[in-house]
Amino acid sequence: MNARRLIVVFVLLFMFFLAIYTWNERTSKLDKISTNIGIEVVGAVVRSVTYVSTTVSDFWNNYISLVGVNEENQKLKEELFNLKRELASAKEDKAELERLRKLLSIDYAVDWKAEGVRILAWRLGANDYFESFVLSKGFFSGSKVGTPIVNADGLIGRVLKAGPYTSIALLLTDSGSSVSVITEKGRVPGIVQGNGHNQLLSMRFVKKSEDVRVGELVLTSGLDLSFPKGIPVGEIVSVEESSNFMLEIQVKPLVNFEKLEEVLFLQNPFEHILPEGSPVYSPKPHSIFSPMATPYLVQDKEGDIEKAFDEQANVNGAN
Amino acid sequence: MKVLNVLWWFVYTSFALFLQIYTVGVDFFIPGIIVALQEKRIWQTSIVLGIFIVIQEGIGTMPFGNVFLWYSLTIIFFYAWRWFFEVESLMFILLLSLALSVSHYFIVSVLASVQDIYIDYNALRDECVYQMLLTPIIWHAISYLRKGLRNAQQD
Repeated sequence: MNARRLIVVFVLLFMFFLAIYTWNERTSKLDKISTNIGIEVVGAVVRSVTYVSTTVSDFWNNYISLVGVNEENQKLKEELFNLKRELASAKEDKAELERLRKLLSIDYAVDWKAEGVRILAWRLGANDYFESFVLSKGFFSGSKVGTPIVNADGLIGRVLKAGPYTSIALLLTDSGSSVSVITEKGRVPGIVQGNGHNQLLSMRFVKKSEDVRVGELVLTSGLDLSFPKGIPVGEIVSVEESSNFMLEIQVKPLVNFEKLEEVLFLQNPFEHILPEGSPVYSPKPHSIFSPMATPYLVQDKEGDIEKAFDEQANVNGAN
Repeated sequence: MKVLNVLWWFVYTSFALFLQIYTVGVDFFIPGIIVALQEKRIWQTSIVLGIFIVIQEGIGTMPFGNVFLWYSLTIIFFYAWRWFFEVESLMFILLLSLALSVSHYFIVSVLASVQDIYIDYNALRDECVYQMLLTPIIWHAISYLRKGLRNAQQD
């Protein structure tokens, strides 16, 4: 191939790339096709590998290596006894809670159906730059883009891409993850955003005057319609005053992301009648005044925003 | 003979995916594309490229286009480098993997900023270095296996 032909091929390929890129930006058709095929191929390979390794390890554990089984059995019996006792106590608490809720006429949260799902693999390939993992269930099992993912400790993330039998999840720690939250005791609302692998989360858009304390739990508020209300997200580990009128709050996730194996999808039974929730990936604002993050905020040249907050506070106080 | 070739590519694709599970950020399809280009069989290269693009774009979390552009550059670099080196020489493959790693860093950086996606540039740099180091090794191994396959077909 001579130089002229090579340049022509390069220009043609680049133009073709621009054409399919812009067409896909508009329609997302190529994303859908590649998601359905790519994820399923990976799912099939990983499932096969997992099946073989599980069969081999089961054979080893069940028939060859039985050292310590008796001791483990004893420990499990003790653990079971303790759990039964805790369950009995929890049942009483639940009954009491239900009675109190009736008394106070609090609306019940919508019953979100939980579906167990296994993690097949973590970040895959050279085209995956998000904090993500591959899950063993797809849209045939109720996984949809935006479906919340939790475990017993708390919130893990949301489904980013869903194929027929396999999905990819975006973790809470990814810089593109954001969740509408509320503090447990002070009931202070805010937005929790990820900061990347092994980094603490940031709680944003909390005014300096709010009562936020270190050690307090942060829960999903349910306001963004993407998560049920009350899922634990993390624990506040530091609260500092920033140069603007907001607090800088750092939150440690409750979930140990390094040790995850099985998780739960939470399916909203009334999803079809609810308006669309927030997008799964939202670009991180460079500052709190970023127009993308907060379209209603503008540059605070002469303290206009602070004045507006004060005026709002006065109005609320008067009411 | 065709069946054996298809089977070979199927096993290679599965194995490359398996390696990707344990080596974050490295594309193990690239050495396969180089081997396909070296064999000068246009249909084989087109099919392999098409399948690899769909799989990598599908499992990737970025919008469609990144892998397509990178694999297109692989073809361009392959033919450009051929003017200076023998395609089976070590220098050829070393310089090709260097060019591919640098272009990968460049493509991801540009597309991430266009799509407003946050990227950890230190991690990206490390992954490009791994890609540069691993591509010649994998290429060498699969070239050897392909030669074995060709010999088996001739016998």
